[in-house]
Amino acid sequence: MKAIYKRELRAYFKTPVGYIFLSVFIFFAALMFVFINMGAQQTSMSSFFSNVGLIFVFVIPVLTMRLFSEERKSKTDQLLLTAPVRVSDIVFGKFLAATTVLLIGVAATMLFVPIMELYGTPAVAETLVGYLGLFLLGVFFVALGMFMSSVTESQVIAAVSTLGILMALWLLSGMSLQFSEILAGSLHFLGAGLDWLLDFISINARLYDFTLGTLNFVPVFYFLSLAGLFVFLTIRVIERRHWK
Amino acid sequence: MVEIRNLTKKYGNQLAVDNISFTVKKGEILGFLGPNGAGKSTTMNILTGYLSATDGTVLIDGYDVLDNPVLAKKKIGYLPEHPPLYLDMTVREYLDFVYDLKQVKEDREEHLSKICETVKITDVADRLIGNLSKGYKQRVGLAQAMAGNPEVLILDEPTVGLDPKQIIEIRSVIKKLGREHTVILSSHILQEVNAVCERLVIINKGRLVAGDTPENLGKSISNENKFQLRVAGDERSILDVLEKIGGIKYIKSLGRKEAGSIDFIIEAEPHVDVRASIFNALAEAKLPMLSLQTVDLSLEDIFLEVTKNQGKKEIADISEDEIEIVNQPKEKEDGAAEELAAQKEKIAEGADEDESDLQA
Repeated sequence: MKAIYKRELRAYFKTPVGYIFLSVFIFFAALMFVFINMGAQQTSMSSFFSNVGLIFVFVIPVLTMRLFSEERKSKTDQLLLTAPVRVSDIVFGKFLAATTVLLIGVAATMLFVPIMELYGTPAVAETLVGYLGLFLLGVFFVALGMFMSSVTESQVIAAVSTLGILMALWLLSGMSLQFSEILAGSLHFLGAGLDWLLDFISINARLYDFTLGTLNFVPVFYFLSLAGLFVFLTIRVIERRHWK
Repeated sequence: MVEIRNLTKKYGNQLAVDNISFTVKKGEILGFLGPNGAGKSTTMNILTGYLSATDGTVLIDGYDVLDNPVLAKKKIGYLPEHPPLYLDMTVREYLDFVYDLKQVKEDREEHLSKICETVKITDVADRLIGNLSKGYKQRVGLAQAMAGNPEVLILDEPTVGLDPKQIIEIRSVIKKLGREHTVILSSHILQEVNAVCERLVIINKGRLVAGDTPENLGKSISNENKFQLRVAGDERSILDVLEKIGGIKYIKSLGRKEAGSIDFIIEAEPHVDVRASIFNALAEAKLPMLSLQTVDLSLEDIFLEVTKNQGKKEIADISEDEIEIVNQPKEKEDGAAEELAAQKEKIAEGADEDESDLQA
């Protein structure tokens, strides 16, 4: 696992992928920070986190698209899968490498906290909990992107389909509020159930739990279990290909 | 060292490998021969645990590839058809990665530099793999397979796409490796396996056609006496002359390839040299012979030879479809023979039982 992790991490910074991901992510995160926090002169990063989540929707597919599809296309998967290592080690190695790059990006945006310290008094502990939520959201997105990459040989298809799914998830969460308002009038008997369902699948709502500054077990478990699910599915897909 | 039992692989409904069994002894270099699409790569991918078999077992030094994948894979070095190289790494970085991946226990510096020397890539160690020529890439692929000194090396068409000088070099490397390792080498080039391997296994359309030493296979092959002949004149009169010569098994006209001449394929009876008599007879008839050359044996000829020895029919023309046709009746005969044998056994068993009944 260590060998794969090391190679994968190196590959991110040997190719432009790592730099592109980090520079685009940090640039847009900084833009959000300038508009939302500095412009409006507020120290609460709640809506900043929500908007950075949207940036994730666009940049994480770039981070994950090559993880498995490139190996398959260049046939290097034959080296990995005939080496004396387990499939789960390969998948975890790659997953952790992508997560590390994500962590670098998230950590870089934490510089915004001391900047705010210069002009005001942000609630540091609460903000850090928000950052944890943001990171866990990213971890889930990475797992999902990795899964899409394991399904196809084409990096483009992997990236576009990941983007599509993340976008749909994001919009669906945004709709949750509006839907319940519309439905409350005409279909109020359905309203409660649908509201509950939309809230249940709403990644935004879970992220919001973090940005309030409270560290709850439920949203942590929510993101980690989703990430775990897609890591597991990736392992299954690769093991299954062996049987085809 | 390597034991393959009743290996079968199906892709959907298509049978890629059909009930293949053979064993490779320790220290042996086995040639795995077959035309393109015969199932060589599939078989090798199953041996190395990249694919799984639909049926049958593969044992590497006693470890089942399916039940004990990590232990079995530890004993295998694999060079697939396309060397699995990361083009954005230098040779040295790549080998370092493979060393870590395979969890090699030996001293890193010493082990890797020894491998680099064996396959002669020491001078390109710091270059990006993507910038290397095909021959060097192939050698890096071979180096990767050798990392960790696995007892079994499985090489899938290691010389394909190389120039003649590189082919000779790689072959000598493989020969050298064969002293310390068990090697399975696939190829569709007869000369190659002939030059390197101690034993051959031939497969076609997923089936095992023959398995023997090159000498033994070569014996049946050397009986073959085939020539291509070009004679000036018209076809009828040439055939009249040729048909009178003794010792010729068959003559086949290939038609006109050069103005005013006809080409023929002639096969002589085994151990009969008909070249002088052909020359004399044609000279007498004033039909000038323009060229005479032996026909090189292709893999298909070997197949033909091999299937001919097993079956009873002979066929003049060579194509895989016809090989199939020859095979089928043979199988039926075999099947019938087996049935007969089984019946005989049953009768014998029945007799035994009767006897024991009597004794009781």
